[in-house]
Amino acid sequence: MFRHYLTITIRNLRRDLGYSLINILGLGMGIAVSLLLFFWVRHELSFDRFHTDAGRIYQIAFNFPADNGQYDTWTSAPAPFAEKIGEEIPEAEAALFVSFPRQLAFQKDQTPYQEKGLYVDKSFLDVFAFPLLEGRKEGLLHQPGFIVLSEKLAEKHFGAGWRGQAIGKTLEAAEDESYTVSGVVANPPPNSTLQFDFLLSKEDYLSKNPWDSQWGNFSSRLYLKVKNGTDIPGLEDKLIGLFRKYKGNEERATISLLSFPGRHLYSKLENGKPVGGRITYVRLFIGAAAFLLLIACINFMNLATARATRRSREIGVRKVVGASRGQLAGQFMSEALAIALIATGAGIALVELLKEPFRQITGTELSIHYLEPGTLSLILATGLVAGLLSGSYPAFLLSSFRAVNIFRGKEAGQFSGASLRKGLVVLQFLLSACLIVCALGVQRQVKFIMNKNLGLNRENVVRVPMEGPLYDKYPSLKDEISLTGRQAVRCFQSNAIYGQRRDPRPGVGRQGAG
Amino acid sequence: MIRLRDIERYYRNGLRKAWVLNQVNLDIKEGEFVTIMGPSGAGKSTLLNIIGMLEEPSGGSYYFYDEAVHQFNERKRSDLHKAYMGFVFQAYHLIDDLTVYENIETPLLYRNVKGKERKSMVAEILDRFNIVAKKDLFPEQLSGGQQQLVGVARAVISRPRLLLADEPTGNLHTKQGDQIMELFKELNDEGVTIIQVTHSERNASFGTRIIELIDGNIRRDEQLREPSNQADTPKGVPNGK
Ligand SMILES: Nc1ncnc2c1ncn2[C@@H]1O[C@H](COP(=O)(O)OP(=O)(O)O)[C@@H](O)[C@H]1O
Ligand SMILES: [Mg+2]
Repeated sequence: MFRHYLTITIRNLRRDLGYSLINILGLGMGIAVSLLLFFWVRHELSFDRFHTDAGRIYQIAFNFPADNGQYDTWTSAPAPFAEKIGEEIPEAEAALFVSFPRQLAFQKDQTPYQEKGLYVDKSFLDVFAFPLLEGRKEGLLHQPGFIVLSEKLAEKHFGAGWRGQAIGKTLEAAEDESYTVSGVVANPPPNSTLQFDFLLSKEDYLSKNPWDSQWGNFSSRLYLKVKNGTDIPGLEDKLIGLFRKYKGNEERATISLLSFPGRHLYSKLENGKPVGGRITYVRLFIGAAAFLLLIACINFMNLATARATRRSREIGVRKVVGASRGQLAGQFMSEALAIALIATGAGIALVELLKEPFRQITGTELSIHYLEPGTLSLILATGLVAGLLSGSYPAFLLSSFRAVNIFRGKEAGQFSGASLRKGLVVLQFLLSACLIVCALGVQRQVKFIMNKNLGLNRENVVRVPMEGPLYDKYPSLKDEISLTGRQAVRCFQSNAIYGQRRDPRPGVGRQGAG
Repeated sequence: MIRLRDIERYYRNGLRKAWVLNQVNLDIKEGEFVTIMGPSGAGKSTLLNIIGMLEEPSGGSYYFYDEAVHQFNERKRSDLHKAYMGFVFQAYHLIDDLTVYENIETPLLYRNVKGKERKSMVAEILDRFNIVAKKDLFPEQLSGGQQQLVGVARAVISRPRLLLADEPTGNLHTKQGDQIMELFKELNDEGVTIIQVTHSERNASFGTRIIELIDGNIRRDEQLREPSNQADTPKGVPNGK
């Protein structure tokens, strides 16, 4: 029976090849775009979930009273707090100091290059699941001067044969510093908030930035892994109590524990509570994906119905020779599913074509492994939904007509489902119009952001961080730039954009007059 | 086998009823070869469709092997239809996308006949109807007479007890028509009850009985000869399927 269905499906497709191609490609396009959106959504939802017991990892945030009666929330904390929590709060399985990302200049054969990394507590790799490729887990960052490299940096510095070569070697950095490689970890995956190419110890950080050992400097991030079944509001109260004990005079400050894997999607905070963020886009994209799939299915359904109309005589004949309503419905359903399957194949091909432009637009690298169970079921579910949705109308309505009426041509008018098809076209048109209006709205929004006059001239401005040898040669660099035309060169003690203090080195700002 | 009592069929035309069949009473015994004749629009096809359970009467009683079909729901009716009847149309109504072989095979698929048995049944019919050479052709590659042969083959492959044919030779030359009629006579001799609609006296002469329908009424009911193969004991309607 199945072979019979397949035969008739293929012969039907072949008979109107052009029509079939339009039908399949239309659905394939809808499937491709919604798959891309779904992959993006899945990528966003997977952020920071790969850590073991990710649900038990929290970030500490401080809420300070603001003038308007609200609270300002800082997601940074003083460095010494981590240690005290570790000592005095039993609910905390671990309390981690993690610096904001820092640039560091390394040197290979006299050529300096910059990398971004983090200064972290010893227990960093116990809490965050970045697999250790080489090195002994114990004592990785137990001493100042130890460095853990990402696979990428290890390969960059030591070449492709870094394995067995890197551990114990010394890495030259700027300012005559040098670090000993104690381990190599896998590159942080794209769905990790914590991105780094090297890890250095907290001790190194504090000896370079001694003022950050004070309780008044909220200079770093602080993560907690709490024990199972911890009462979070209770812990928040305990933590603020501990903070006051050491810091004093912060009577009205409070602490919020923010779920670490939740931070990526809910980055917007109000009074210490997550109120939104990227989750808005995630919802928008889910909606858009469903919407697009719906439009594609309606289109498919329409064409399928039109085709089934031309096959009304076949339906009548099948009824007379013994087909039950269910068997006929099954035939149309399996036909729709088979076509949806082909369309899904076409959709996957399109996804492969669109992946690169999509990456360029969204900046998101989608890692799609088709055979992975999650991906496979997502694709099959999309195809199945498309097939069921588009096959249901022809299957259940057409199979209900009576053979005699078909032969007498009586139900031909009804049978073509003319009014329903008109309705579908109108619906499809409305949905498309809606989508176009939304797209235009988003486009204008983006244009507004790009062109809004912020009161400063962003053209011809360059920021050059003074890392490595540049620092020493600042005066000559400045002269050199001045010679090339009418510019202004400014140097700042700190990052002029973020206002956040970095290593006390000047930066160079260059402004050209046109 | 068949007992019709006061069967009527009308269509509503505004407030008025347009009668197609009016108080039709008819008994047909197993083994008969009945020809229904009459002018166009007399209700012949309607009567045949009602007997074939493709259409419901507006009133009256219909007993098939003593089962009260008029009280059955659609599902049970189509089960009976499937179990006992084969249908042949004037316009052949073969499925264009299927080959001769596949067209003949289709009724067996809907009766869940297993692959091997199906093959031998189709082969047997192809052989008997002399169309083995045509089995891989599509309907459009056949002449009208050949298409109707396939139509009859498809109708009898499931070994129906009752064969219903609505002007089976209407689109055929006399010679092709005779071939179909010979076949019908043969089938009838083997015990298949046949009811055919035709305009041709020549075709009617192959049968055992002629019924003339005029304006929805039976005007003439004439026995030409004794059915050659008088009914074996009627088999009751099996329970369930
Ligand atoms: N759906 C319908 N609505 C109204 N009249 C119908 C319908 N179907 C058939 N008729 C009428 O019923 C009459 C009998 O039709 P039919 O049984 O096909 O006649 P025959 O086969 O004897 O030529 C015809 O007059 C036809 O117009
Ligand atoms: Mg007729």
